[in-house]
Amino acid sequence: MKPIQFPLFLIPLLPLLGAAISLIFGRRMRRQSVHLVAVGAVVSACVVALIAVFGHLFGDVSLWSLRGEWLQSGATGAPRLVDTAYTWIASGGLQIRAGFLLDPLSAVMVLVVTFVGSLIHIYSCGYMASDKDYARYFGYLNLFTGSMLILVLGDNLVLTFVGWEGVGLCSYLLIGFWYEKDANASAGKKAFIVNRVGDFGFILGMLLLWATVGTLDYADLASGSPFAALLDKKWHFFYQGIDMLSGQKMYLITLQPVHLIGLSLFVGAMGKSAQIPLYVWLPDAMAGPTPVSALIHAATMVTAGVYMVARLNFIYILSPTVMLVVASFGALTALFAATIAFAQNDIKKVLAYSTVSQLGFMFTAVGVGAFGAGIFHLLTHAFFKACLFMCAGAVIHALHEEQDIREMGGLRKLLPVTHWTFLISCVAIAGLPFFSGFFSKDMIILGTAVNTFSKTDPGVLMLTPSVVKIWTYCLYGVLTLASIGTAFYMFRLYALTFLGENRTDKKVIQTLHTPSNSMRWPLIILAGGATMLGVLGLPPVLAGKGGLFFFVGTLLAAGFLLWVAFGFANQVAPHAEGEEAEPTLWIVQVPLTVIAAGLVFLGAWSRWPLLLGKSIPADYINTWLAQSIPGQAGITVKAGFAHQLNVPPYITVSHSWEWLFMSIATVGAILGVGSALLIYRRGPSQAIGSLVASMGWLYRLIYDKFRIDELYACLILRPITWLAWFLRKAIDEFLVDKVLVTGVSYVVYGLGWLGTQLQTGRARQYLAAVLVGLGVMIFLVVRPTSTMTVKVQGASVYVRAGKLSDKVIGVSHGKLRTKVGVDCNGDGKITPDERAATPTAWVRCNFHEPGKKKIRMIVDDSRFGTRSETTRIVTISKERR
Amino acid sequence: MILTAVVLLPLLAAILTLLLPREEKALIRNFGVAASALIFLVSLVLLWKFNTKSPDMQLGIQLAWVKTLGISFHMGVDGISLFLVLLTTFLTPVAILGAGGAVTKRHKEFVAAMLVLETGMLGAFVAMDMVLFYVFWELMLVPMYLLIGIWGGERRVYAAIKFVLYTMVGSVLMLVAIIFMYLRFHELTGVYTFDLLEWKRMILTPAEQFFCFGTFALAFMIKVPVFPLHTWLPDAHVEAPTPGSVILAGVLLKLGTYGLLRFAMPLFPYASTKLAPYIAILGIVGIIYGALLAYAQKDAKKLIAYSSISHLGFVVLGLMSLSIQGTEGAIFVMIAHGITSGGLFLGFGMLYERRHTRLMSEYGGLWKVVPKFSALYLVIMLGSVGLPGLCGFVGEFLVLVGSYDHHAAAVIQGVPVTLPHPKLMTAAAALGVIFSAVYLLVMFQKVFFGPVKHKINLSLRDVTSRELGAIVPLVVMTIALGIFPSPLLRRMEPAVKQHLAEYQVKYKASIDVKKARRAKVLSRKALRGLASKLRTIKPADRQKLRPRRRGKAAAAKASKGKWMKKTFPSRRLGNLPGRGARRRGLKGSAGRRGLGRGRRRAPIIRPRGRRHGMPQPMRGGR
Repeated sequence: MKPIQFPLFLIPLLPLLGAAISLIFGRRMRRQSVHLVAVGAVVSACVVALIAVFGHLFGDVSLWSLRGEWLQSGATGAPRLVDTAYTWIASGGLQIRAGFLLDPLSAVMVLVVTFVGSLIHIYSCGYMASDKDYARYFGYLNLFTGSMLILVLGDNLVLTFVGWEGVGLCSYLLIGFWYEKDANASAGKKAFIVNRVGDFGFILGMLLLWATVGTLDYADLASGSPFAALLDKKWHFFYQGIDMLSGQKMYLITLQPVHLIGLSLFVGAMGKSAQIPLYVWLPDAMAGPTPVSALIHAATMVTAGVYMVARLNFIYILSPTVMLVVASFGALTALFAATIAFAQNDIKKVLAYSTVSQLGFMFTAVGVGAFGAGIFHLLTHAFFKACLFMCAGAVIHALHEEQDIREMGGLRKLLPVTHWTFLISCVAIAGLPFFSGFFSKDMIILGTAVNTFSKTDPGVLMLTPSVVKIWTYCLYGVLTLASIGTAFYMFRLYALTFLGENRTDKKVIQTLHTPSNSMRWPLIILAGGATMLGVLGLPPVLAGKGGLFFFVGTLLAAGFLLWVAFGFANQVAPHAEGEEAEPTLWIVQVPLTVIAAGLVFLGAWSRWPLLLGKSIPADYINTWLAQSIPGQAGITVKAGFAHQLNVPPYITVSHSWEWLFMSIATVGAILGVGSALLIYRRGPSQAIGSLVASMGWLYRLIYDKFRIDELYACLILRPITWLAWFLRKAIDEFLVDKVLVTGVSYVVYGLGWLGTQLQTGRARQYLAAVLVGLGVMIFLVVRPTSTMTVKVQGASVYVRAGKLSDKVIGVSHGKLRTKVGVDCNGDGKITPDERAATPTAWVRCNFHEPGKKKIRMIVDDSRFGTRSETTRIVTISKERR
Repeated sequence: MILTAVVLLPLLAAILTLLLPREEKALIRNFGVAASALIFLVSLVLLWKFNTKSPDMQLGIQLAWVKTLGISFHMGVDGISLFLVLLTTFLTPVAILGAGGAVTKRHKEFVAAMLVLETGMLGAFVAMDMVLFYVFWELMLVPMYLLIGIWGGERRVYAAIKFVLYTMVGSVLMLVAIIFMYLRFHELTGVYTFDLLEWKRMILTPAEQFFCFGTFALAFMIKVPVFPLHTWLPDAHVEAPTPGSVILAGVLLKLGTYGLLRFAMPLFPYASTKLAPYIAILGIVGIIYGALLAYAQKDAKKLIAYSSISHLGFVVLGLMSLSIQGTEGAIFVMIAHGITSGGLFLGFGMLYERRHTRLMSEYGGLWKVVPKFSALYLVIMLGSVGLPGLCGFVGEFLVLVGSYDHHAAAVIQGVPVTLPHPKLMTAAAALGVIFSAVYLLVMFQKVFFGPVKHKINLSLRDVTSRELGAIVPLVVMTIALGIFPSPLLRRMEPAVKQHLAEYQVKYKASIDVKKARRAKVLSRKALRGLASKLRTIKPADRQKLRPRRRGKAAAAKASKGKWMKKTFPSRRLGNLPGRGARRRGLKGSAGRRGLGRGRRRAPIIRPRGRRHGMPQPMRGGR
């Protein structure tokens, strides 16, 4: 089946146009029109994306309907909408199209980017209401959205790289948006440069891929034809000996192109998605405006690395060892960042480290082959983390740019909407049951625990299957620890911010900036998403017929939402006479009630399949993504939920395993939440102080973020700076410029000076010099020659003095006094016929028999009274006839 | 005709400028801008008339200049030089317009110098005759020397003399090689000519190639400049007035790399193949060294100057990689670097005009004061960083692809392997990607971000409309070339492919010559095998090859528009030894020995009717 054309270029183009308008004309536009352009651009991109995915509802062909046909016809590859705008770079065999591709995987990403992006744009209208540079801000934000959409929709790696760098640029610009503080600008610069280090890996990966398989198109790559080339070569390192059984040579490390490609590209992903060791830029990136942190550094850009790995799943799947590396880095990052988050006091820094940690979860997922789980977590994370950041933004905004959680507390009553949405998202990220984070994290953990991938690995390293098995169990343990940590630090944050007594300056509280409508509504919608999205990835045990728990869960969630709605309503009343126009009750209550009703409906839907003839499918997200991710190791569950797709290898687990992992996760989450609430419910206290004091240096170390920044400064930054200065001072300015260049000029100058010393102006000296020179010249010209020229012709040898080109020997008047003789027969005498008529005449020697003959030439010069002799051996080959 | 017009119009405009009244400064300046802008428009006709599919020299002209010496006024453009010509005509009005307060005296002479400089650069890009090229090459030096020496900064005399001496050292040596080749060509064919297309068919022995390539490459590598020969550049840039820097960085440096591509490599493929690894390594060293030094500068103009060294390292690497992508990428980097570094110098010149300091520490927080300017400068800076979607990326990416995949390309296209470890070398070059971001972002932060540290900076004026007129075209081109590079690449491709094919053929022929030399004796069999090479024609035979006087009728017939024939009657095919020569009664060793027997014509001579082409026969490649 052919992919269908659809004007996909509109999706990135609309935000880019919006950016162009805002950036070029923004300074002359009113605030409202800038808002209109910016929000309009993203919303319209969202609409186009929705039409591309769900257009069949209006009778069009869309990705959805295409997918249906695709499944029925059993076609290979992914169902996709394509669009080639033009050929971007064409050089020799390298053809890079500006082509776009919408398949189930990119559809998820596009919807996340445009939907969450739209909400954040709307939120920004309120958040940046008092900033003068609004046009620049919205221009950058639109530019970011456009670049991100290029990244997601690009149908080849290079175009993805365009978006990749584009979002990096926007990140740089937006982190340094308030450029007047040097720290902000430096943070932006740091982000860009660290990302560039990753991009170095990305570029190398692309080059290697191009050199290996000769294409960078996703469709061509996924077609499977290049796979052989990827595994074609082998480079061995560290010879170990000969295997006794197979007789083959064994090496500690065996590399194939695919390993290098996978690792290089993962370095790129490390940079963009803030994994160890390149995560250092993300916490600093919080210097930007908070909506930016929400959009770029939580929901979209930082997940690009995960997307890229999932996009190239068919390459990663060829090298399970590289995937193990990916998973290990991910798990390590998840735990490491969670640890740092324990001790942070800046509300945004906590969230930043939390993001790093969650990205670690996603990388673990894609690393163990559960690509769908990674993307699912990406999706839910986009919602709850964006919501968390925006809540944090609302708090910061309300408290006049206060970010220290030690100065907060008790905001529950002052900012109820923010409080409730924050709480919902906290619950979601902590992984409490039935919220989206629970399901996505559960899917990752299940995938990690039962992953069997690496057990069939041919191996970069000589890892035995049992080692790999233990390794993956370790990964599972690390992830579980990290998720307990997540629950703890998130509720620590929640408790310190919203619970207990208020610790803020009273003046600030009196002039509290309550969030405007444009800030509230995105929060509520995102919180709704954070609650609901778990539906997309229900574990089989909870789905379908076994959906009782989901039913209960949705009912609980609905109740929660209603609680939010009423809490909100209560909050509105005392603030009714505030200076800002408050929304009336129904604006809040009606939508939330509707959503709650929807939840109830969904629960019912899942519970009574017979009633509606359908049920909630298990693992819907994986089914949806399956065609884009042929490499996915699907997990089947024994108790009879048949997947529509038969993509091996399946890993079979039973419901009891599902139960087990889910219960462990739940217990862990409750443990984390409970202990955090227990410790911090009243804000920072003496008890905590003494606890911290007892930890001593460990706490300091965590508080200082393990001093990684200082380490990098010491190991990388300073040496390079020193090297640069050394090169400048010692090599460039001294060695090259002073010694070599100026040195040469001094040599020339010195020679010139010597020359001037000869120009004394004394006639006698000049005359002497002329005479000496003349004498030397005369001697050189007229001195007797001792060179001889020999020509052999047959049995005769012709001999003359001097070179062939010499017309005369010596100057003409010396001609007569120079006598040349050739001793042919070797008797030592010169007979008259052996004497040359003129100094340059030929003398002929005749020989009668072949063999080696010695010829001696004697030149007498009566002018100088000298005689010079030259001898040469000549071989005569012919006999005289 | 149009090409001649483009090259000579600036000269005409320069003469007209000198006729203008000295007091009318604005008039002189406006005239300069208008004239050069007009020339740019005229040069766009080249783009229009250019045949995209053809690899040959086009829109050319060939007139006898000094007949007795075989010097001709031969010019032409192909896909390689076309965009360099356009870059020159594009940057000149920008530079004159952007001069602003950088030029405070002798306005008339300034505009005239710029226009003469333009002629020099254009001529050097399109000259197909070595003497003509050399004339233009040296012609450029004079106005540039004056620009630095008269309108420059404090150490302008030092910088100007350094610039001229440096360049002269290289170019005088090159002249020696040119004369050598001229004589050698005559020795081999009996024809006196400086025509590049003729010379391209001559194959020198390895030793001769090393000598000639050495001098050519030295001249060009000084101009580029390649690593240890670079110290004139920072000084020249720092002292040059803004328009001088723009032209110097934008166009002049490209003449070095253009020379390598146009002259040094095709004429001496054997030597260039053998020396390519070292030159490529120098290029890579330049990439990293230039970047690190740029990072260590406090003076913004020096920083940009060192960034040029870094960027041109990519060009050198691309050229030496001998792959389609590498070569096209190198040409693209030349264009892109012309625009971005021209823009960087132009923009910083605007700041310099306002504050009269080049130290970055004297600035800071300028975005707040001059937001429009900062935004424009940002785009150009990012173009220079090599951000995808802007012009810097395309070229660098192609160069990396070309050099990375060098071995495969060598196999496919049959070109010799020039890079010993292409993957490692490319990885080292790709480090430049990181560094370019470091030094430029550091510069941008120091100048535009942070608080306003010096009160005087608070009163800086944002861009004037004149300055906008100068810098906006550069910004537009930075973006446009990044998004639509293929119009350029498409036009380059035939010429680049031809360059590589020719290179490959000539390289193999050089190897044959080398083998023959090594065997000491040019046996008859070897001679016949080498019939396609000029080497086969012995000096002793050259008497026989002298052109015979032809009848008036024949001359009249030949003069019908055939410039080549009129200039070089000896190019008639029958003049070479062979069967035909013998039949016509040519006696002597050539006829008797049967030199080139079995071949009707020696391949030095291209078939009739083809004005421009490559040596026959061609092997493989295309």
